[in-house]
Amino acid sequence: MAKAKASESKDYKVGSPKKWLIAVGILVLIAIIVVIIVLCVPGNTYSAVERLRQASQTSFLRSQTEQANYARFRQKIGATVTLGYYAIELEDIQTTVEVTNKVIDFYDDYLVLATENKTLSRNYKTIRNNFEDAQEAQEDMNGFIADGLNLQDNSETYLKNIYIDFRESYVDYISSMTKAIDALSNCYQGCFIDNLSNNLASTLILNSVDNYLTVITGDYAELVDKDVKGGNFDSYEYETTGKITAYSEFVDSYILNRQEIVEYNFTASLQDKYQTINSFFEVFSQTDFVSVIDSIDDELNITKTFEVEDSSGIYDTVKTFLVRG
Amino acid sequence: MKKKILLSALSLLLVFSSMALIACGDEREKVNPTTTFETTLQSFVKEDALFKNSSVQGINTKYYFNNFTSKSGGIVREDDQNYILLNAYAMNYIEEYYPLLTELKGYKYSSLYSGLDALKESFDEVKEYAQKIADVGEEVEEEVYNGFFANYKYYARDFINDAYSLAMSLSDFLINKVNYTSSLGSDMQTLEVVEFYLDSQILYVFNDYRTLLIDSAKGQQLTNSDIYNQAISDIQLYASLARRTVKMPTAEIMADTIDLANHVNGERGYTMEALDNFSIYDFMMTYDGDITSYQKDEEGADAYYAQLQSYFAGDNNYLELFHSYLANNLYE
Repeated sequence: MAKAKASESKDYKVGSPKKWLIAVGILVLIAIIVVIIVLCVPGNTYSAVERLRQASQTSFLRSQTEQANYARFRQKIGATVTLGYYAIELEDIQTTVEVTNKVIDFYDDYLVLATENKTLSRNYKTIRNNFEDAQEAQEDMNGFIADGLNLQDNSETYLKNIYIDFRESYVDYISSMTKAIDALSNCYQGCFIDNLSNNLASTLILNSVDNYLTVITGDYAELVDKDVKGGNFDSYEYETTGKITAYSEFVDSYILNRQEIVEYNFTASLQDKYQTINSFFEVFSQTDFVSVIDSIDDELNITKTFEVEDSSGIYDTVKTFLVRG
Repeated sequence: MKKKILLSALSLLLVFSSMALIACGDEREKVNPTTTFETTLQSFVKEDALFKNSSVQGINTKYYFNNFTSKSGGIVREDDQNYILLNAYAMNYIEEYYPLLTELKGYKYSSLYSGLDALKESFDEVKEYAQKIADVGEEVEEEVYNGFFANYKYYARDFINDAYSLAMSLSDFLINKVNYTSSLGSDMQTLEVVEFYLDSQILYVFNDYRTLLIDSAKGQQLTNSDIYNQAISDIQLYASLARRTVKMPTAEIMADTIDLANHVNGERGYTMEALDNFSIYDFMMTYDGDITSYQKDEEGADAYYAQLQSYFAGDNNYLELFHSYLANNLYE
């Protein structure tokens, strides 16, 4: 009897932990699945579109208030004796921002039609996070502009410091926008399959936009390192105006006026042109292409040369494409 | 035990349901539909209530809508000729190419039969209204006449939609199931097959215009819409192309043409998506042509509108460019 009871109680003790273990295991599995879904669920087209739409409506210098405040900030700095050299930067920043807004508008035109696939899923988080980061940087920039405009003290040192802080936030802004645009470019090229406006011309054009932004962002990041509070003007070196002008003309020529993207599939001469440009990458690397952009001087000359001889004229075609194409 | 009985009953139910479904399938689906096409089309033209022999935009057709007229200022005149043109092209296409099915064996033709059935049903409906407007005569008051015409136009729309559905099914069947165009782009290609391929491309373009003008614009003549205006202009380019003689291309040109047509088809997909979400009629009539207002109700409205403009309207729209390519490379 005692043995039987012991056996029963032994069975009872073995049975219940197993059931509990199974129940806990299932709960853990469900929790893991939920976490995976929450973290990794594909960003659907509409979520990406909403985010892009928001960015296209609220990015820097879209609103008239921001435009007005920025103009006054530029004027205040430009009117100083010792900080006038920053006025060129401020003008170029405005150009870069306005041109980049046009690029965002280009993607905004298309993304709603994108196919929901792995490319969209892979890039959605990058788009979302970087637009959010850009928005935060934009708030900081507006904060510094307000500080500059409200500054009563005539000390140009204080104004310089505010500008340096503003520039640092601007670099955060434009870096985030560059990453977001790069991800949008991946979506454009990967989510519009067998489509007339996704072709070799659009690939080269959109990749070049990414490269322009990378170069411009890099230049301003260097300025942040070199031109610091308490530093003197001797170390200041700003040679980005030509690159920004070329970027602006490039976007106007190929993005706002999309004729070459639209007509690529219909026109043999355009196909030849872009196949020639593309053949640059058979001889040279992507890094070389970026360095070509980086070599644009303020007179819009491309100063980069290569040791490899280019008897086919590929480099000339690339230069014409990049600057006043 | 109870569980076992329940599971067995469910299984039996599933088996019998499947058998019933299989049994209820179209018995005709394995029967060559050539005769059905022939008798159906002959029945359409036998009665002259709906159709007459005539020519629209230089395209001869037996399927010209009879009395497709409205009354204005006391005068009865032909209404939207685009309805007549669109219908004529689709019906001509069906009539020309259904004989390619004649010698075929071993295929399942259910999509073609269901298309034929739908077309017959639409015909029976629309011919009634065509007859009514003929019976009512031109002397009645404008409101009464136009009331009859409104019904005629409404059912004509359904007929046209079913004609395109059948024509597209026929095209899809011949290209993708029968592989009728597999020789194109090679030395084995023939002029006959080239003509079929090009007529199919024109059919798809006309279907794009049908979707825009009849579905999205609800058959209304939205003359203050740039997309509408460009479409009714460019549709005539394709009508003139349809009248021209095809010239035999080299295999290389044909291969390039197929590649281009595939890209156009890809773009078409995005355009159809835009048309699913954006109504030209609503844009002009409800939102007064103001895209910002439309965007409040449809967030993607400006993007859809941009897609429609790039495909249908504006300088160098895709359909115009495609027409130029075809006209310069494939036609005399």
